[in-house]
Amino acid sequence: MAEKPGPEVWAKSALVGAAGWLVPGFGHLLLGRKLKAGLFCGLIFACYLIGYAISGGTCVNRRDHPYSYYAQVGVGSLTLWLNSIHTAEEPRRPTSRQTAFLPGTSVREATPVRCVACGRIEELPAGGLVAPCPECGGRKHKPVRHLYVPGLDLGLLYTMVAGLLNLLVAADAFDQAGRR
Amino acid sequence: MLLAHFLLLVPIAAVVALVLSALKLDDWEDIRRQAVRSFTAMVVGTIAFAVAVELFTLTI
Repeated sequence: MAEKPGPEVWAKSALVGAAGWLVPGFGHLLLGRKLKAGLFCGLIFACYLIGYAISGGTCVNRRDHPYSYYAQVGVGSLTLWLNSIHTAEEPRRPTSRQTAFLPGTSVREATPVRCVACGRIEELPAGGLVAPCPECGGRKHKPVRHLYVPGLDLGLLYTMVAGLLNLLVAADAFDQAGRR
Repeated sequence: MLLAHFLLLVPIAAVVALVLSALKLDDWEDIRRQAVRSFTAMVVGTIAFAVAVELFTLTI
């Protein structure tokens, strides 16, 4: 019957797994597997950064893309850092309670709104009043939570795939550390 | 446009094939051979699936 791994084996495995999660390939580097470490690091970082560049740096943001974030966070250090930068510097989007604006409504904070009739987007300053749409005269406006960014979908896909692959790689490093 | 979208997905298939092959195997030559096989299977399978869906759409 195989022996149960002791606490020091668990600690080592956890350390290697955490290192692999934080920096792709670092767990395998700690185990002395340089070829695999280099391969994982290069491929996963490249996939992640290409996705980030395609989306114009908008795809890593827990507030705007909460579900994607849980996949992206598989690339630990980079996602945590980029998310902290973006959530700190970007203004908060309108809350879900503000679902529609009619003419005469005062806006508490700077908000992009879309005319429901024609789709025209207008940036309203904080404290500004909603007016009928100058193009179609439409009265009802809705807040825009995500301004359309070309390449956002593709950027989300690249970064999410990179994050999920790195979770697999970190789990493999954890497993390999326990067998040694 | 559809082709451009498809081509932009090809690098993901290559990355997935290489990473999964490297998880399973140790020698670089084995990794490369397995990755090429997996990548080809993914691309051919995707094209075959897209063609089948198009043909099905045309027939109904």
